[in-house]
Amino acid sequence: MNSNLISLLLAKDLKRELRSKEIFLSSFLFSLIILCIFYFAATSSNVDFAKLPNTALWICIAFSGTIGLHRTHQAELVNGCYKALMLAPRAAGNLYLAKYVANFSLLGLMSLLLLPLISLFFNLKFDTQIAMAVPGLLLGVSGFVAIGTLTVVITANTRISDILFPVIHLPLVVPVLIAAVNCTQIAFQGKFSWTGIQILCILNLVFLSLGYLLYEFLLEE
Amino acid sequence: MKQPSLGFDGFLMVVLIALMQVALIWALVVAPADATQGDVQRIFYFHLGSIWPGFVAFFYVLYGSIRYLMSRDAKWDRRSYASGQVGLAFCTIVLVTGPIWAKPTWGVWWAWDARLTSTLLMWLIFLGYIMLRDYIDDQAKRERLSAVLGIIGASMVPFVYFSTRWFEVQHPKPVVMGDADSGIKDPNMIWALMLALAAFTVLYVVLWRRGTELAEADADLSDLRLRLSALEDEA
Repeated sequence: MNSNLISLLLAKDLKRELRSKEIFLSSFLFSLIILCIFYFAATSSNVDFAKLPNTALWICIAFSGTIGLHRTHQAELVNGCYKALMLAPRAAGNLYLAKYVANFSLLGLMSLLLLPLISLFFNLKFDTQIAMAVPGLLLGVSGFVAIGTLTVVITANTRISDILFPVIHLPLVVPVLIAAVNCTQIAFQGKFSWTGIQILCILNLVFLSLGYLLYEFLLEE
Repeated sequence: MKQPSLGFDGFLMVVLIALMQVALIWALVVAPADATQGDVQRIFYFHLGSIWPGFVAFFYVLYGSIRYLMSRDAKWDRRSYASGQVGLAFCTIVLVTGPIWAKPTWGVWWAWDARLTSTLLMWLIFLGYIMLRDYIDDQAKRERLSAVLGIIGASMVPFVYFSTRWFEVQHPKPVVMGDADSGIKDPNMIWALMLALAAFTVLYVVLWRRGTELAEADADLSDLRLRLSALEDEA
């Protein structure tokens, strides 16, 4: 693993995001809007909104994360930035890891910032219920990003990338989502799910290995 | 006049028809009705019979995609594509026969448990694998990206099988490689299941060979069109 390349690319992506704030802000605001719609949809169906913090959290992450990942890659295509990255003398696997770390930093931070909102809206204890959910949340987001970093490049080569990306990406990440949703649900009940964490670790390992090995084939022109 | 020989495909077709007939008779007549579920359980032979070649098809997509990326020989892409199409058809049969069994047994057509959801997602993944090809114009790129997606998609298949053990679900425990308290015990039921599995496996092979032939004919036709258009340009 080339840590220098990873840190350089991470710094580039974070600097661009700090300047534009477009991905982080739009994803976070989109999550807030989803929470409001979710509230109206739940209460109009006579569902107790207070019992759905886990559902709300993962719906926000799945939708805003998909938009965020797609936007991140689209931003790379401007001015041929991605082509320049492809030309750089580097191992493709390292480039994948760098993109993964950058995407995970953005989406991970956004999902962590959602936790205080979830705690506030759903009256959850921050030091126990919310704190216990953090490992499952971050591992879930990591798996989500590990596959997303691959699929966003696959679909970027199609004529309808903006539509095809969620269609291809979301079914692939559902194994991670099922495990992560179970994990955070147990955490919101005040317990810790070791089984869920173990499954998430295995899925992350599988998806990151696949990404590391396969990214090379996505960079050919 | 010399009669054309049946060939391997003809032989497979004869075996398939014979196996299908025997499997049907065994599942509907010879095997006893389930003590608790009654006759509706008989659909299980075809339900499980379809998911098995579905898994085989998706593992072949994995194998063929790896072979394509290693060799860049288009024949592996065509074989993987044909396998993905056939796998998608078998997955559709599973998703149709499942609710037919679920309605009288569970009282609902669909239950959102991990196994059912995962099977639906497996169907969606391979639909995505088939769809992706329609939206990439460049042939080499299409083959390469489909192979990568095929490998990622097929890696989810083990999760589908083991999902019933990881989470508490409504779906019955696996019959094959299941726990001691799961599975069928009556010898005639086991025979019906084995015959259905054999028939659907041969059906997969027949359909996959036809699909590969079609994909190869399609590729030949595209080559001929290109050559014809080049000749017309020269003229």
